[in-house]
Amino acid sequence: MVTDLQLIEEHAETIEDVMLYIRVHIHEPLNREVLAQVAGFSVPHFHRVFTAQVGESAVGYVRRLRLERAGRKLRMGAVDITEVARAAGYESHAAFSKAFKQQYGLSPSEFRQLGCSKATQLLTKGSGK
Amino acid sequence: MKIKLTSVSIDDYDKALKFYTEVMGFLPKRDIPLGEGARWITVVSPEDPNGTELLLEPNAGYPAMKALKESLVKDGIPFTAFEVNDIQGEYERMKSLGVEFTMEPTNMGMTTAAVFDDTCGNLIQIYQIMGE
Repeated sequence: MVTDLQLIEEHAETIEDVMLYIRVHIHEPLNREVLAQVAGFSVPHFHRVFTAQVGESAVGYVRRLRLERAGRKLRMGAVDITEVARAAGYESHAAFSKAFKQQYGLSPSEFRQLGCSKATQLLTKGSGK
Repeated sequence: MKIKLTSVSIDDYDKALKFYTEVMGFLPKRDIPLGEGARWITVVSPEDPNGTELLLEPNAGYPAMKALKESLVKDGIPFTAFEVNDIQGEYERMKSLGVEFTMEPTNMGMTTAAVFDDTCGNLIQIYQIMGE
């Protein structure tokens, strides 16, 4: 039986490449099929390897990365929350606010009112990494 | 008194010089040997070749600088910033050269800003002042 440890050791480089691909192509549709293809794996195998390596699913990782990037924009003073929401892959302000609050415990508007230090702490803590 | 020099922390002279000239588009200004492999390397903007020089400072291995750089990157905070006239154009040009942006051009009110990885261990911001 292949253990998670074996999966991590054997495929560390491939998953690093996938994570770089995700960061570079973060504004494009990134579903499991696309990412599995980048890795050269079947979808179920990719899901297993990615989760073992990163500690969360690829879909969850992409969502978290997008919310974190959105949070950084808000911290830096982004004025248009709808623009931030759209760039993070959300079609509506409401859906983005809900996901953001779930991740960080504050709405985007509330988060924007925080000082840089507090916002940074929250982003770091909320990312779980 | 005037501000004539600023610096960015790098780890490798040649890699940094390549990125800051070939990708960012700055011009080499000085490359002065300082002995024992050390060099004083500066670049300037082609729009202001006699203006402020950017020193490529090889101090990334100094423990305190290493810790600072890693913390800034982890928290997504730019090391420094450069003004551009057309941020969308620069973003697209640099992206086509393979630059990894951690923030695409975003409306900040008075400015539109973007942030990218300079491959030397720093996040760098570019910004366009709007409405001038």
